[in-house]
Amino acid sequence: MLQGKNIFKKINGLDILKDININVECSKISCLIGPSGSGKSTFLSCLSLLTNPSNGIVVVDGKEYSFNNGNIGYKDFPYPLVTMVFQGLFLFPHLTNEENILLPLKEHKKTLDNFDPLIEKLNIKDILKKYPNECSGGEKQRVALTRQILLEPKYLLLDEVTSALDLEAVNTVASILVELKNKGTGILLATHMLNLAKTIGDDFYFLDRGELVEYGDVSQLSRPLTDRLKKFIKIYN
Amino acid sequence: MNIIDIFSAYKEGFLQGLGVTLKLCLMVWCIGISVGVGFGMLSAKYQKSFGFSSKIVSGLISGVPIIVLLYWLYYPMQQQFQIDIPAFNVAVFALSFVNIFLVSDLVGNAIIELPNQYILSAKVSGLSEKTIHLKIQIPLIFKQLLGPVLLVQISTLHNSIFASLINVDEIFRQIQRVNAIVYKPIELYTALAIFFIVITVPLNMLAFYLKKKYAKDYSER
Repeated sequence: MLQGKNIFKKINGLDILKDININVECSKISCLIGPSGSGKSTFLSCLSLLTNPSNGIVVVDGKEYSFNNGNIGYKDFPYPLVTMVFQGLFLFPHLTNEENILLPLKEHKKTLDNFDPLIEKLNIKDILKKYPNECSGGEKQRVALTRQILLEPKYLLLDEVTSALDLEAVNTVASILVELKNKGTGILLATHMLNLAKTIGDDFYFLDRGELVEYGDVSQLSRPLTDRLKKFIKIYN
Repeated sequence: MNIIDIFSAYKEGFLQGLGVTLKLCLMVWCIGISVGVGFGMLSAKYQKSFGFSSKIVSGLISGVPIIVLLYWLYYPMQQQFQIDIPAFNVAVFALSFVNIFLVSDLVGNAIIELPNQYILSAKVSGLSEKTIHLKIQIPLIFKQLLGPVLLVQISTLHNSIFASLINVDEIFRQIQRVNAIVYKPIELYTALAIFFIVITVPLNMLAFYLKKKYAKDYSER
């Protein structure tokens, strides 16, 4: 299990995350929902150990990374066991899409068995030889997703990866995520798309102003307990 | 006496001047690029100490015309310290000094401004530090720098003619010397201009090509 325990994050004196506890379990899709600026991306950064929390513990399959008392000296990061697709995507701009996908695969000596079926499914075959800046936002999202999925992570963190996709592509991504879940991958999906969360999610965490306001089974999204979640659902549904 | 006659009559002098100019430039380019890259890396790594000092020196250099620096190093400084350094060495030192800090500035800024998100993206993809350096950071920085560094070297080549003013027998000084004998300023200075065009236009085109090919807009659409 991938756990964020009592995660706090302060940036320039502002509390961005306040005591967040979230678990990502294998064979489950957890959805991290919340308005813009609620701290979703910051939490994903902390959970993936790319950003040091101001306080708290990240646990990856029993291995603790404690940031209490200012501990920041970790070097043995669990990548790509835990990996992430960023909202900004961050494909390497000097490499073609194909090179972007293959570089980490070669480093980890992964087989390319899943390469062709996945690029076919995500419809990126025609843009493999292109550079990222020659592609649309949706195309780049699919390339970034392909790159991380082919690494076969145990825990996959996704930050708004469907935001630039059309409905058909969202459905494709959704089916791929369910497939990954069924193969045992634990997924934490930060999204604004409530319908997507309801369709493929197992449980949800609702963040607002850096606080974990409500969490539970996705079915609870149809009957929220708190006013803040009710208001959010009203706006984003 | 036409230009061909002049060149054939004074070819030894011209070839010697050409050789001195090329030798001067090659030395200045090699020293400037190698030391400048090292300084730039140190500036980026130790921004508050080395980087800050380097920025101050580079700011001061940009405010002093190269000819003043050459004169200062060749006449008053040598007189002050009672030393005698050959003009060529002074020119190599002065031009290299400027080149080092110009290159260092470019390299330092390129390293500092390399977006951190690419490094994060590489990290979560499980790439090793070595791969991140070799396959991500260095190529990105290198491709961004090729064009600008080449342009700085072209400007160094242009600045090399100032070395004639401290008695370095480079091409400009040879042309002046021959002109004093045959007085054919139009032909001789046109030939000099052509010489610089022949060298700098391909370099400019290469810089433009590299800029277009590599330093293209990497920003996300």
